[in-house]
Amino acid sequence: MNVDQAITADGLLLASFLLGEAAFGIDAQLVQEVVKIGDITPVHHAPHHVVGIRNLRGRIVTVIDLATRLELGNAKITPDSRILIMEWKSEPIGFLVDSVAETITTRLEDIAPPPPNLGGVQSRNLRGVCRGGHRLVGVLDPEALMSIDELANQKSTKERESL
Amino acid sequence: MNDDLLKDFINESREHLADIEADLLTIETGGAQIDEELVNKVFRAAHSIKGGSGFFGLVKVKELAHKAETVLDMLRSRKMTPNAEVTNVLLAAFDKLRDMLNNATDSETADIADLVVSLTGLASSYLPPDQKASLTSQVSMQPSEGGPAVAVPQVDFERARRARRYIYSVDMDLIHDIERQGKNILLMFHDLTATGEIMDCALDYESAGTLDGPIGNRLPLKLVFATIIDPNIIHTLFKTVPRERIHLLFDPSSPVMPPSVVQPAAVPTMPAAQSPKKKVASKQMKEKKIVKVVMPSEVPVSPPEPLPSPAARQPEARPEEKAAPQPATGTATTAVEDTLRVNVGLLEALMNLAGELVLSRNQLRAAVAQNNLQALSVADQRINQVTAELQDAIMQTRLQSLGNVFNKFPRVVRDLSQSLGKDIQLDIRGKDVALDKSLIEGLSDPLTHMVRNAVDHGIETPEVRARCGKKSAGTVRIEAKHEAGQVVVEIEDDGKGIDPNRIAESALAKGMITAEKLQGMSDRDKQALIFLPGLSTSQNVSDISGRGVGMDVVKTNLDRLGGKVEITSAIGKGSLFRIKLPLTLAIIPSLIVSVESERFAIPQINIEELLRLRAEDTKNRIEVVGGSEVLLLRDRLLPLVRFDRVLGVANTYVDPMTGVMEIDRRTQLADRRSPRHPVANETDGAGQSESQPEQLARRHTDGRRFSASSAMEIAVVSTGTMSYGLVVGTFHDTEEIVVKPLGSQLKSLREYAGATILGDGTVALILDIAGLATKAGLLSITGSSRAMELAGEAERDKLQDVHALFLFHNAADEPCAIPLDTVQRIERITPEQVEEVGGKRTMQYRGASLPLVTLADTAKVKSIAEIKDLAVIVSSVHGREVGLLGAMPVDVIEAKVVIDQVTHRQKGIAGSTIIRDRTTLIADLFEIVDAVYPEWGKAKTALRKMTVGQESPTILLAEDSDFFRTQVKRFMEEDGFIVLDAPDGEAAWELLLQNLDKVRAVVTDIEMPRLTGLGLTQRIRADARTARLPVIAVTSLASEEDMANGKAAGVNEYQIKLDRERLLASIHALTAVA
Repeated sequence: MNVDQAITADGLLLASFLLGEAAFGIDAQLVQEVVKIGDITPVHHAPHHVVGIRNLRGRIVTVIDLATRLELGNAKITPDSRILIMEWKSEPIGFLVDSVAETITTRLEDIAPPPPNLGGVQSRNLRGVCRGGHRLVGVLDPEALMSIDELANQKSTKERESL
Repeated sequence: MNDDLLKDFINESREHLADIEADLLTIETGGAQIDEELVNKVFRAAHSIKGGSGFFGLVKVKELAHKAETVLDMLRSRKMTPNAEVTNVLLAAFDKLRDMLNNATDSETADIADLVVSLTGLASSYLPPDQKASLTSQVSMQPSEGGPAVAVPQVDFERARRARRYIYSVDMDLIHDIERQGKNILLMFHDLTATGEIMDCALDYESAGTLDGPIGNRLPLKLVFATIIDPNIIHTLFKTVPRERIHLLFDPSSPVMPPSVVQPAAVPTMPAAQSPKKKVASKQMKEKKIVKVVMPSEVPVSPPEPLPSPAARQPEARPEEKAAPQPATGTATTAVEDTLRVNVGLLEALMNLAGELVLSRNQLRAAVAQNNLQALSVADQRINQVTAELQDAIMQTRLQSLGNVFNKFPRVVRDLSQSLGKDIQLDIRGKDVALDKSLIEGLSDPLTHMVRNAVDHGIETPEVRARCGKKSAGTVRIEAKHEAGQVVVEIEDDGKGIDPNRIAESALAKGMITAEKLQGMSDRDKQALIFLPGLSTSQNVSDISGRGVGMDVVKTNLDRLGGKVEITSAIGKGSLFRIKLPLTLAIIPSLIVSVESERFAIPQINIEELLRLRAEDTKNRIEVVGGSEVLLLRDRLLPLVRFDRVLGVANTYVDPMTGVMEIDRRTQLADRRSPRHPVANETDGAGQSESQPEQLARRHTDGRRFSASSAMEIAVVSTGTMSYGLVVGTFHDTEEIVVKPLGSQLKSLREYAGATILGDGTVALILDIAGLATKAGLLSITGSSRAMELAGEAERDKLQDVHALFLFHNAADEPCAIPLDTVQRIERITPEQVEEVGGKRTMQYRGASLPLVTLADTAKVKSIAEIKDLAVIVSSVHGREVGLLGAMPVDVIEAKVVIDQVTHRQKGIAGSTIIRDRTTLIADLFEIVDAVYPEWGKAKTALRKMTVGQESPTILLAEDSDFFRTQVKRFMEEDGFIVLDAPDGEAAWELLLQNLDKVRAVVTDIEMPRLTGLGLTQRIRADARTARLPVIAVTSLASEEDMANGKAAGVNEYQIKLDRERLLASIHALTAVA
């Protein structure tokens, strides 16, 4: 992969993926690998968006349902479902997505601010939108996505269910 | 500046500083008997910090280190005696140094003015007046071969002169003389400090150039160095520095150069002591000049001499640092340790094992390639062995000695006891006991808190101790030791102990527990209340402890570490805190359990026992109290936690028609992340997806999963202070599991201690037993208040009531008691007054003969024959006066005691209790009299039958305390009533309904399980059949409020339980009316 050539001074390589109908992208440099769903151990009482934990070559990966995180409903597991493994603050985190799409090279100035009519959670977690091929791709802000404060606000619905 | 070098310097300085506290304290204890070696050690530490900080431009660090050095030098030369004041200032100075070094970049902004003043003041107060000026004045020295004069503080100069040292000034260039020669500046400093003393050193930053200007290729460093090495060979020390840049400033052997003393700031000096900015500027200007003078010569660097290079000599130069690699030293500070010292031998063992592992891997690959099963099995065995050894070795690298934590306690105790005016001896043992690094770190805070508590709350002031007859110095003992695979840390003080009642009162006053709960609590339970959040018994809150934060945090921290804490305390004697810790945290033996199809690990250390209840046992072993399940385990009542319910794991069942496992929706909503959730079950390997039908098949045949009333597997787990039963699905094997932390998203879940990867590669969560208890609503204090509540309700018959007891002795050392209400009078007599006629003892008493009995008449106790000082307890039995012989002294107490009616029960003894730490027998005068004068009882019954001529009135007695029930029933029967008794209100009500026609009055206790006395009364009043029945409420102590409540409920009379005359009179009156 010609990653190095693709990233110019103001360029950005995005790994794009689908959540339902919507396409999103995240800085490809953060994505370490893409794996199949595998054996996920559920964690009871965990925040709603945490699917569970998974063994990745001896490391424990927290798997997050990105669709739930962005309040787009729950991910449906299909043969196309994948987990994007990312290293964030030296801790592996997996994002469960419906399917992985192509990588997009874009320039920073081509990323437009999120449309103002976008809902709270999504607009908070988006750096902006850019055009990728024939569709619009939401560029995710990893910092916001992983912030614990934000996560804490999302009430553990799991507990509610079990009560 | 080179960051790595700075880091090295800081790390090294920390090492120097780590032991200083202990050393200073030892020096202080030594007093005038100075251990020169020790003082030297501290001096050297201060000195090398001074030297290095000058090089790195840490002006304030340098200044402070210098001042400390001056004071230490005076200690060394016995001009000053170490006392508390000196040690205080020095300790504070080194604390400050440590702080500044931990935050080196900001050290220039630190405020050290106070410390400098105290240190200078300290030094000057010990100096003879004429030398006082030497502290601030400077000595200016002229290089022998001309050039600018150099000034050093006079004290330093004097020290060098006394030691007959030469003083040199050396101009070196860090770039050409050090770096380009492959030398390391720090190593050079080591060499120098090993051979002499760096009096001053300064770096010329400006000549390094700026980014904008041309790149400067010089970094001049000016050193003033004092050493005994004479000028002829001094260049061997600075091999890379041209000889002409080494100037002799002072020659101790020649009396010629009398150094001129100048006042500070009169001469441009190098150290920037008072006003750093100005000084630096002037210094730099001066140095530029020096450099200019020297540089034009451009002498080629002298060729390497055949002397050992500094690098090669380094090991001998710092032998004490090399010889004993101490496990991380910085733990004494609060700075977080990010490096770890590992024994070289251990590291080599690890290297060997890594090599072994590579070899084994090669074997394995070969075996796989050849498809050779036998070779495969050999490789397997080998890898197995190597892995085990590797694991052991790596665990060992994580082990650190507890000394790292203990070493800070002398200082803590010293500072605290001084500020509190207490005299405390600290006894530390077992410093070399090693624990896992993470445990050591986690243990530091709780232990410190407990030690502070012992000093602050435990040990009394010397005056108080003297009054209590203790020696004025208190002792705090901290000891670590191995005990049965665990490490035990004990913190013991011989102070005033923990008063359970004060703790209980405080908890009650703060509304943390209810009075009812308190009644059922033992002293130990009460003491454990100090672990409740927000409880403090200290009268005046000090800044040390007593804010009511603390012990709960200690408990929480220890819980997290898997530690258990126990308290043993006796009032006036002291307290002992015993902490039990697992050896390591990273790899723990655990029991794997499963609930439905999910597996979890329970750390073995938390498991007390495992039990399986058969379906037919569940009914009588598990009871539901107040909506909660309790497990009856031998004599214990344990709260029961249904694991699946706490976690909300979906209950599954196998559909008998289809054989498909389904989520049981009757109990709760399906969880989307349950095993049935497609996410969790989707697999990427074919082998894994096959396991599903297998699992189903197993479930299908596993009949006991079908019905709810099938057998239960219960793990009895303990967090150290509380135990409970955890109902799990199935027990599996015990495994050694590697604990892996959960991600930050899941850190807040207290019910898990982490996760682990099982043999098949799947992940299992490790349960945090304490967290799980909290989640399940069990409070984490002894026995848990919930368990206590449940146990209390079930064991109400043991309830502690207030008993008024008359204390006496049988034989000299045999304390006995008798209920006070049975006693009419006490007479002191001499043995001669006792007459023995016809085998019966009597005495003359008020013109008649009083029959006397003793405990020994019926019970196996000591004989009273020897006693000279006798007491006769006059009482009335069956309407006749009788005297019980006892020994003085006598006393009356009113106390909440539990009366054990089993252990010491024999004829004449109703039971026993503990009064003032002594087992006290409760005499049963009734039984004794019945045995000695059996005819009395019969006569009376006959008499009553004759006089009354009709059936005796029946009284219903409701009383939960066995002791009171027996007593009250007896004296009512003695008075001619027929008594029906019941242990609680509910039973009394049933009894009443069965005997509606007979019962003439009800005597009831107020506080009873199931149905209270007031409830019973209300029920009686509400029922037309019983509405007019007289009800007498009896209580231990009646308040006006109680009485008002009683009247409102319909109670006719209120009586004190054992006030027998009034109670009987009241019964007579009410039954007569009825």
